[in-house]
Amino acid sequence: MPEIARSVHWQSPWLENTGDAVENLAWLWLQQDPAALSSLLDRLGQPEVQLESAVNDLTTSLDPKTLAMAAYDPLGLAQLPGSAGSAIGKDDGAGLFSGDEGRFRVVSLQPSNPKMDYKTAALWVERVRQEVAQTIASESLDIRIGMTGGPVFLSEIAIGMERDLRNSVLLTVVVIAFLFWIAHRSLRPLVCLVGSLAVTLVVTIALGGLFLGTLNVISTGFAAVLIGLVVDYGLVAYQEARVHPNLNVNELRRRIAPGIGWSAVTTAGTFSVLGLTGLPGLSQLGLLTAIGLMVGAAVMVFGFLPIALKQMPSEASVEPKLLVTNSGRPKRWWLPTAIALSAIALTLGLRGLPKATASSDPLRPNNSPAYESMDRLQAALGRTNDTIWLIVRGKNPEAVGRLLISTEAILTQARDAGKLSEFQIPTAFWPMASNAAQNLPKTAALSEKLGLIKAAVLHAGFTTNSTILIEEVGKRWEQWRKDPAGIPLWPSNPTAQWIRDRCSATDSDGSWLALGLVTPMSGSGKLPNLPEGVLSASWNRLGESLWDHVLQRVISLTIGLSVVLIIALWLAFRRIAEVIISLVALISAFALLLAGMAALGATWNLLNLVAIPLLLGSSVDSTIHIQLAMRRYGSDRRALWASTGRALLLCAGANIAGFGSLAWSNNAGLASLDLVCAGGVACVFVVAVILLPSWWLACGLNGRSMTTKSPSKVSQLYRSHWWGWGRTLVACIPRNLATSISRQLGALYATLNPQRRNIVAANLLPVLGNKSDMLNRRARNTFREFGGKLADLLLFESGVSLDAWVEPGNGWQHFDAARASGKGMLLVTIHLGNWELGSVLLRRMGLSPLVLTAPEPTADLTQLRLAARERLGIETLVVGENPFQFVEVIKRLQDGGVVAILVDRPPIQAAVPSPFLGGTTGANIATAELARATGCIILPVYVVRHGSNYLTHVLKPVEYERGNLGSRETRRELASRVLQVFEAAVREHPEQWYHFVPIWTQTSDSTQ
Amino acid sequence: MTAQTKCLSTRFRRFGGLFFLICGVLWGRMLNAADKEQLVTEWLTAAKSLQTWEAQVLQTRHLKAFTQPLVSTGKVWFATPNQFRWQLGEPVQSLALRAGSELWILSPKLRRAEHYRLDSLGNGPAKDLMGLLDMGFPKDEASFRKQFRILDVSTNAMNWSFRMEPQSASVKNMLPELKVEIAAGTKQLIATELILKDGSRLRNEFKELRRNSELSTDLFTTNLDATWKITTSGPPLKK
Repeated sequence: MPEIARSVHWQSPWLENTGDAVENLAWLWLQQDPAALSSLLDRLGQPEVQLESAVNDLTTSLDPKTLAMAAYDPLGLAQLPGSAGSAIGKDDGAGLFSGDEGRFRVVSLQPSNPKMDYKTAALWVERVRQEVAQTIASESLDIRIGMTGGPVFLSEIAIGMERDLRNSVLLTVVVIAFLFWIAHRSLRPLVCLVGSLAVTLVVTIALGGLFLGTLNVISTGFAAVLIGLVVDYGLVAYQEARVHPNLNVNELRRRIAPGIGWSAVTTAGTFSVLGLTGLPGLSQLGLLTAIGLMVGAAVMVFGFLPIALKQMPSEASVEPKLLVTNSGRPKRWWLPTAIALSAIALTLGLRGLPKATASSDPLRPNNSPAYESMDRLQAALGRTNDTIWLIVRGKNPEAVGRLLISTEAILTQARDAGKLSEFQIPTAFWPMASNAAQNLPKTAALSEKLGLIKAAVLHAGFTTNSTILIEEVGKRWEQWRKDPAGIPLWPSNPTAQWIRDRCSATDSDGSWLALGLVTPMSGSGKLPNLPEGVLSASWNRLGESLWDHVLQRVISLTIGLSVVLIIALWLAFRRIAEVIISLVALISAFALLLAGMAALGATWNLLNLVAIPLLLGSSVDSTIHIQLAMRRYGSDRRALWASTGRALLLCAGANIAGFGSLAWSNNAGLASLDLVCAGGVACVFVVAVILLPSWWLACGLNGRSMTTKSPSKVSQLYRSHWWGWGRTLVACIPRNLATSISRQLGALYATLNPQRRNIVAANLLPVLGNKSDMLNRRARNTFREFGGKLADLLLFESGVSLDAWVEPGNGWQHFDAARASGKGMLLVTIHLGNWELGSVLLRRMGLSPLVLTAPEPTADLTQLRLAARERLGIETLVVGENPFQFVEVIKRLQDGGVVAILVDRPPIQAAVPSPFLGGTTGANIATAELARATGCIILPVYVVRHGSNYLTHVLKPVEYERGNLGSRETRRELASRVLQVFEAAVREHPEQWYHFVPIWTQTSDSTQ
Repeated sequence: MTAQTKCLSTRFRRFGGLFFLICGVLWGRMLNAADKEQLVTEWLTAAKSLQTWEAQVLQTRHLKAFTQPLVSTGKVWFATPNQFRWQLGEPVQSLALRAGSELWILSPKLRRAEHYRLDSLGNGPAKDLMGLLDMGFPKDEASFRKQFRILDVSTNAMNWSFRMEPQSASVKNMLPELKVEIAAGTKQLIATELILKDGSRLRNEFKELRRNSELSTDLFTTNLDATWKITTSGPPLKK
């Protein structure tokens, strides 16, 4: 049936096509060493000796093959030198197609279309199966049929992949839907969620197709795993929307996007490390899941959230009340831990640790008829999984041929030394073009002697049948001599083509490959050292080699990941106790998993070993969530469960469903990997929700801090070494470049430090009133502006003249009037713009102000900045707790001098609560104290950036009655008024108002 | 005795011989399947009692590729369960020797020895082919039937003849038919014949038969010095 098969073989083709032997023999002689052919031709020149030997063999040989050969090849043409001769003499090829004492037969079909896709292959296999079944039925044959080979594997594996993909996805979605329904009892958001998951999956598959081209059998498991993970983002988004029903989409998105984004990035990073395991299937699974996580995060934040919000049932906020209790260490906190530890110890004591198996079996499909047939085929043909395949690679056939010769010598030596059982490599049937080119002309000598040779054969008693071989070989050589194309690389007959297809191939880079096999001694899979370019592989060795490789990678990955996680935990908690609790929780969960595996008799294998780093990376967030919730809810277990516990249950349930749905996967390794992952997630959930809170409370962490720690102090970056390096750096590059880089660094800092950004946003909230939707953007801009200001300040302190960029702004008439009055002048300003640059203008006017400043965060930074100002001719007084320092200030003002002071965010001892911009913040009472002491003019000034320049604005002096300043209340009122004159300036330039620590002690309701 | 009587006697002898020949042929032809099976069983049963066996052999080879029959003489020794020695030619040209799973084929003239370990040859054609060397001495019915299928059984007053084919497809491809002849009375092996694919025939006729005599174990061992070139099939020999 040509529409089914291009060719069918049931025995070796040289038994079907005996005529091919002549061409193959003629070709083979030409591939031999030229000396060997010369020897043959010499022998044929005097055939009597050879013929006598042949007659002797015919008379007395006890070997049937020798008999057959001597009868039809009395001249010994088939006695090729070396392995070529033994290959011809020994192998009749029947063992390639039959075995088990004639009860097993191989029928080899070559499909009409060798490049079938999997669906066509499945149809083809089914068609063959039907044809065979019909024949068996019609002939009433008692035989059993098994099918194996490329198309059978292709169809079986591809259909299995399809089934796995479909079933696991469906099962996961059903479980997720069930959990969602149990938790929220709301259908429309559920539909939106399932739709979003479908979109995520489709987009991921599309992107996967773009990047990877094809999916392999293991990577198909990504879909269920991905759904199980991505659904978390949807659940978080939905939960947040329920908790904050008054927030609009943008506000909600701002709240959840960073968390979901970072979660997606870290989890995707964890899955990406699967690429380092060295297993292609897992690499693909990891990459696809990583891509899918990023896609899923985007889909949930930008797709699901707005739609779900519209579908949200109208209900009151479900936010659990913060019931912070400080009941201290709970009674019998150790009980759950003791129970868990006892169970673990008992199980591991009785069953021992789960065993590790280095077998290749996890890479095989489960219940595969094609594999079963392949195993039976191998057994019947005397091969096992111990058989080692050799792949000999060279840039051309000649190079491969030379490698084959040297490999054969090594293998022969090893076999003779008892280090291996046997081997088969195609040295005998390999083209050696250079030999052929030398040998072909020599064969002309045979034509001249052919008549004499034939006469000698007949004279010895042989019939004409015995001369056919030498005649035909001679004809073939003559034909090739006359052919301009010369001798072909391979003979063109079906037998030679069949052999060629089984022992040679060309790679995509044009290099040549030869295939051989070695049967090692029983129990030993080791080969002698083979030449470079010869690779060895066997199914059993694959498992052992991969085990070492994977184990090493998993250990490295786990260590690396642990370091990263410890850093991440520190950044999340900033408390060593909580970091340790998280680590102990992860270790306990792993111990619980080991106990579970031991109890169920599960083993570690090549694929499920990778679950260790995977679980480590994807489970740590549970311990973070629980401990952060503990900070909020303290020992109130009910509140903890109602919020975080339930959310974790949903997420863990979804993850377990995602992983667990692959337990019935067609691939044994993938199924075991996902079962271990599902078990691991369950163990982490149990430990995190049941045991971890007890430990947290037992450590006495309750009550230490009930709110998430926020950075109320100045940044660690504001230190002398950074400041010094910054000054050096900006002095080396143009101002525009320095400013631009610094602005970008400011923006980056805002992105990387959301807590600090939130502080700025909170500070700006009263300024911007209800324009809260712009708050986040404005906060980012503040960081960016501050970057620019910092670059200019560093430039200024490094000694670069900024005169050209600092210009007078509005209100300088007030300054002139104050100066003309001859009174002392107290220049007050706030943290707005680049206030330090005001001294540039004063110096230009010949004034040398005394700048009052608070101590910097560190003494060396204070010194550094003092020295810089001193170099610029700016007199600075660091105001500490020494009251006598003010004597000098008062004296300076009484003498009509100029003193500059910041009036917002004063030191705590100088701060008085002051209404400002609708909130309450500290005003500097030192202003009023100095006014009372000196009667100076209080002149508000500020320096703000305008384009690339700075404008120094002067406001109207703050009026006061010196005589009324006797009471503290009046002084407080003056301090407040001084601060409040800057309200308009701040409202005009909110992004240049630089406060990176909380400044409000109280805010109005609208800004809460 | 008159000439007529002598003539009658001669005729009677001729016709008598012919009569017995015809009867024998008819009797042979009239054997039904059950009878044939019975004969096979009897042969196999008799073979069980064999401990040792030795005989002179006359081997005649009718080869399609050779114009004249090739004749050689030799000797055969056999000892249960699986030891035998075949040698052909005088002086010995060819010798096959089996002891257990070790099989040697020696060419003394060429100082060439081929060594086979039958237990490591697997279930392949080589093992099947080597198994034919002791085809005349079946160990038991099960192993015999595993190796051969009886095609026909014919008998005459003197001999029973069994036509068989190998069960192994690969062996059958080279040797489509084999024949074993035993003496009807003693059930002793008297001839074997191998028919090659091209129609060539190898007939071994055994004479001077000795059954269950004591044989030296040296007969079944080799003693090859360094001048021999040994080729081995399967794992190497333990030295």
